[in-house]
Amino acid sequence: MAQGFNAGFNAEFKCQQEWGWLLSIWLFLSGSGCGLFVLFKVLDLPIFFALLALGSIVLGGAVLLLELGSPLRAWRGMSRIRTSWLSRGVVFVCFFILTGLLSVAPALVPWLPWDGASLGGRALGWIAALCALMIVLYPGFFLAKNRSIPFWNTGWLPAVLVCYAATGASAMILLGSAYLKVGEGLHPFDSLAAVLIVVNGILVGVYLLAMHRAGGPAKESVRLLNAPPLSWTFRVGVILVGILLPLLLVLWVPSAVVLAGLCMLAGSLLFRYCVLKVGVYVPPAVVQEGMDFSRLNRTGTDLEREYAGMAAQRAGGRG
Amino acid sequence: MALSVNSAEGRTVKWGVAVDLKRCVGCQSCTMACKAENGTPPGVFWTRVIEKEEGTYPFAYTVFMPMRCNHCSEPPCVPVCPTGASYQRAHDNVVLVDQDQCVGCHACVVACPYEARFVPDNARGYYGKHTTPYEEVAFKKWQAGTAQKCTLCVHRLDVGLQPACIDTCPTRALVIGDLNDAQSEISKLIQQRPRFQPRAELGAEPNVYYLT
Repeated sequence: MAQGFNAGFNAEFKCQQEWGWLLSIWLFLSGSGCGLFVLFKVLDLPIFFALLALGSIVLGGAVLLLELGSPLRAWRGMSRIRTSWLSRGVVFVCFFILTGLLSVAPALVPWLPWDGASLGGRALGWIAALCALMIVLYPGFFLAKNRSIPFWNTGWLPAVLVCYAATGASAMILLGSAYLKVGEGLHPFDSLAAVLIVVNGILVGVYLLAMHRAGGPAKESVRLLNAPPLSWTFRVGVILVGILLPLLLVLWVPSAVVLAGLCMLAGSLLFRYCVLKVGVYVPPAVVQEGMDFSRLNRTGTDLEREYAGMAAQRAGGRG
Repeated sequence: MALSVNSAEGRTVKWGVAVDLKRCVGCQSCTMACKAENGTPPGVFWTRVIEKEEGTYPFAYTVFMPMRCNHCSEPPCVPVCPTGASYQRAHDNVVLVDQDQCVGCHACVVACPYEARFVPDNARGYYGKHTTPYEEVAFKKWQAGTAQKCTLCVHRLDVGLQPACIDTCPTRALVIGDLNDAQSEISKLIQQRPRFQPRAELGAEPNVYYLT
């Protein structure tokens, strides 16, 4: 009876089915956007990049709302900051949007009582940058806290996601390079992108190697990245388009930095999608060491001997 | 069947379920009893029996394992909830979801190592567009787009009855009781028999014991 009825109830490795494109897009937009805002403050970039960062965060938030089963209750999401990284993230996002908007507002609305150069304006900018940094960090911790999925439950994942956020931010700078007053040839932002791509590639390699060595479900996740249907997305999308091609373009074709930026962004999005899709659960422990199956594993010869012994016993009893 | 709980004043109850793997025959009666009692949506099984084939012909055999929410002492699904919709009752260890507070973020579904949580995205019934009279009544117990899970039949438990799955099991493979009471049937079974807790190494302190 159970054979036909519970075809789906098996004890093998199983991927999480809850999160896919929407969460990947949210991770991508919020990570890259906030990374860009941090770079905007640190590198003193034009105001265009702050607006781009704010826009991508707001868009990311809207995408996250689509992921929710009951989006009208999203405001409740900040009520458990003591235990939930998601809740902390909602608080950081709200603070970031508020302080970020207030810090860039003087550049757009000149009659405001404060300006970007004043103490208050600078403080607002740095508070926004700090919130942006936390938004870059928290998705990694949020995923890494899940002990149910060993591929995520590692310190490597937050590190890789932070690096991808920096790479995405640098890709956005390359896309907006028309707004930067720089000379011909390899300029500092191209070098920054090249360094980040290399660091990213190394981190992804180390992360996957560590997970492969961890064995069990984590190893299965790595296998799934290299098996259909995700192998093309990972190998071509993440590795070739997301890492190798932009590195070549940035280093040797300075005129194609916009294309390099697009490739980096595509790779960044696809990496997050791949990581989410190969989240393999710890399988249920169906057979434990304590269970004694030894009598079921008797060989034919053992059984023949046992049956012969039983037959002899019965014959003896009759005699 | 009525529960016999030694509810001495001031003592908290820690509900546990013992699953006798030697008695379970994989009949899925618990699965169906849960469906009938709680009216869960299509494709959602708060309790179910998984199976695994072991060995090779001619010495092959199937292991059955009823799975459900473990109502863990340290439930990983509760702290990840951003709204506090997932909670553990103060006077016992039953883990519940307040569906009026749940935003449907799926964080608890992913956090649960036992795959015991579900978020149905619609309220369609088993038979096409229209729900049956039974489904019309039963589907009012939950909301589409929010998390749901085994409640250990608290509506029965709180009036002294066993959960439907345990009441239904034809081989008496399932036993519920208070783990804090050393004299309860479940405590005695756990003391006497070899047993394991599912994936105890993950630190959730599950309160389901599999007797082997």
